[in-house]
Amino acid sequence: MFIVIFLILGILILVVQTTFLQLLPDWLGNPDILFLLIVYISCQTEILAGAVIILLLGLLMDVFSGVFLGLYPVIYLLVFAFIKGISRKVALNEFAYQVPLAVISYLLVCIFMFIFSNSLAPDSPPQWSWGAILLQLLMLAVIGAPVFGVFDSIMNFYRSTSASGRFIGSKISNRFK
Amino acid sequence: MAGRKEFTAPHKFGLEVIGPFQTAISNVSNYVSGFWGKYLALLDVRNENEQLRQELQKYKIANIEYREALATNVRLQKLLELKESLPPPTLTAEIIGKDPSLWFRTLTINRGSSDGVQKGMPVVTVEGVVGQVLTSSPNYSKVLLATDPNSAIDVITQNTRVQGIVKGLGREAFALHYVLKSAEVEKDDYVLTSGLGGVFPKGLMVGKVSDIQKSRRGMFQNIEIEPAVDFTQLEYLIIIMKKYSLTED
Repeated sequence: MFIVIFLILGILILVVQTTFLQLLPDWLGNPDILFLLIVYISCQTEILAGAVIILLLGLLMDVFSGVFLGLYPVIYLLVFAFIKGISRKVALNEFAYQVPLAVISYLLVCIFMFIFSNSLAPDSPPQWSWGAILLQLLMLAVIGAPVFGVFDSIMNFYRSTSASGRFIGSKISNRFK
Repeated sequence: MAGRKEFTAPHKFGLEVIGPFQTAISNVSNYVSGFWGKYLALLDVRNENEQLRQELQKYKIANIEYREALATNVRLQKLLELKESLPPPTLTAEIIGKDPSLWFRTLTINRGSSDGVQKGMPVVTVEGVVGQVLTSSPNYSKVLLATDPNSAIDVITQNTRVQGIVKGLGREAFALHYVLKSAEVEKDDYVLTSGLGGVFPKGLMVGKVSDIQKSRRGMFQNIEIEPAVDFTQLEYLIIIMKKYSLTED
């Protein structure tokens, strides 16, 4: 059920991103809210459930974006592994950590995207555009906290209504004890 | 017999004492009465104002709808003219989504394999070449824009007849590749599809030469092309239906 809810949320975000948010002017950029969802899931869920959702969201992203199938699932799973690796050392449940983590992870996605696209099509290398990337990082930093707040509300609603919260990382438990 | 009409001193005194109070109360009541009257009138004005605003809003919306219908009509008329000038069969499609990433330039359109759309089919507008169909499902297709770095179109310059390959730069510009340094290319010369490669029909507008640079190293010139199509304003597209796509696996 948890996977279905976040998958539906991911689909809704993707639809908004590919339609409504495309109307925003170029100088404002197009915020990657789906990526914030991926960071949130990586921070908040257990490995198995999180990996399944992220794999599905990556496959979904492949449908609406890009040329090379499988690129998004691989990159998103690498980001998931990166965040899970960090979460062993740092408690990532707070927005104060999640927003900078989202920014760093997005930069990581850009690097992976550049390297993989380059190696998949060496004759057609993608352009590394610092302007667009910095704008996206800024947008993620600005909208990060409120968007994570919305995701948190959905997660809390799910926790309060469902008994199957065992798949989700508990927010109040101490994982370092 | 006439009664007494003249005030006596106590009457006058009483009048003098009460008079100011009367004046004050009268002023206040007049003010209140006037205020109340104005307030009631204002309520009427407010209601009327609200009604007028609603009417104005209604007419504004009607005006916007009219302008939009007119603009759509003009666009569709141009599209129809283009459609008639292209080799048949062609299919009109509407854009329903755009690639959200920074790295790729693709679109989703509302026509799919059930309409006969296949991978590799050229997609154009009135202004020129937009891209080609990348993949399709029964009702929808994904279009690879010509501005994507993975797109390649065989072209020829209109005046000097120099051939090359146009590739997307990931932004609103193309690069013209494989043009030898010895070849004559003029700035502002139009770039058209050459018909070679079998994907695009010959003579479709791609853009015009905006910058030419000849570096010391290498065999080829660095040529930038300004697209004929404004990729930020795309709405309706035309798919040129070919029976067999040459890019099919």
